[in-house]
Amino acid sequence: MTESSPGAPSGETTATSTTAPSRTAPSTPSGGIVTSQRAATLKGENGTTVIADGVVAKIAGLAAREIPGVYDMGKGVGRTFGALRARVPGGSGQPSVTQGVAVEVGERQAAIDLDVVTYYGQSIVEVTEAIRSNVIDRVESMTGLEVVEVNIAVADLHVEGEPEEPKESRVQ
Amino acid sequence: MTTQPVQVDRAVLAAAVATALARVPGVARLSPGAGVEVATQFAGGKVVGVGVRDDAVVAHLVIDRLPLDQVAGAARAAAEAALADLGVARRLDLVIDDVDLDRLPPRSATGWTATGVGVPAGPPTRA
Repeated sequence: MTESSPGAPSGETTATSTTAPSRTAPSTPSGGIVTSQRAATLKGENGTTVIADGVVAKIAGLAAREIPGVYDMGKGVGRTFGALRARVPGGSGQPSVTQGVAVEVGERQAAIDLDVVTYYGQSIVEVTEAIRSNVIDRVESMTGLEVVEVNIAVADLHVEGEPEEPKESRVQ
Repeated sequence: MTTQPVQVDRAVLAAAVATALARVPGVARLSPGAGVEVATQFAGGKVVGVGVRDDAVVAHLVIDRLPLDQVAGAARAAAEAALADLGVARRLDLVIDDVDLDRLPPRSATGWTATGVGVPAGPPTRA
């Protein structure tokens, strides 16, 4: 149960498409691939539990997409590549769930950067608050890590009825 | 009160207020508001008509009983009770967006009725 009260972990919302989170994140938010080999280690008395960065990124990506105001995730370039990759024969068929997610995982804490595309016509503040609340809740309850910040960059707005981009080229 | 605010999930808070308001006689429904939709989003859905802000909870209503101030008073009491149950001390902003004329009860000799009790009232407010 988390709420955006002063005591709760919080982050910043950047409503621009140009500024990337400037913390020393190992992976780019729009790349869609979390390549870090680092992982969180939860030390117990009788052993350790290791949670990879990719696990946290997946949970965060899924949690953000659960919010109805989220249309897509990732920046323009990453989303285009994701759409391309989906069409490559033998490819994964679907854009990566970690697209638009960058995480930094320490021993006990995690910091998460998200690039989201929201629907036009709704409060961006409301959507980002809902995303932050849900991501913190999901990551903390599933991994036991403390989420210290969730930085959300609204990369684009989706206007319903407006075609994204040319669907397919006319020639093969 | 306590120094540490009680942590309540915003969706739980919004749903509790929405449920309390919907039960008030004279409240026809919650309303998304006239401009940008007022709603509280959560995983898998949203509560339309209730917005959770840092300093206040905003609720938009459509009513179907007059006089307005009695319905508004009952709605405020119900919503504030719901907030108090959750231990949330936050300002409540009520907005009456509309009066549902089609659902207004027929006008009796004593005037427009609120919550079933004959209350003399002035001319109905057209919204």
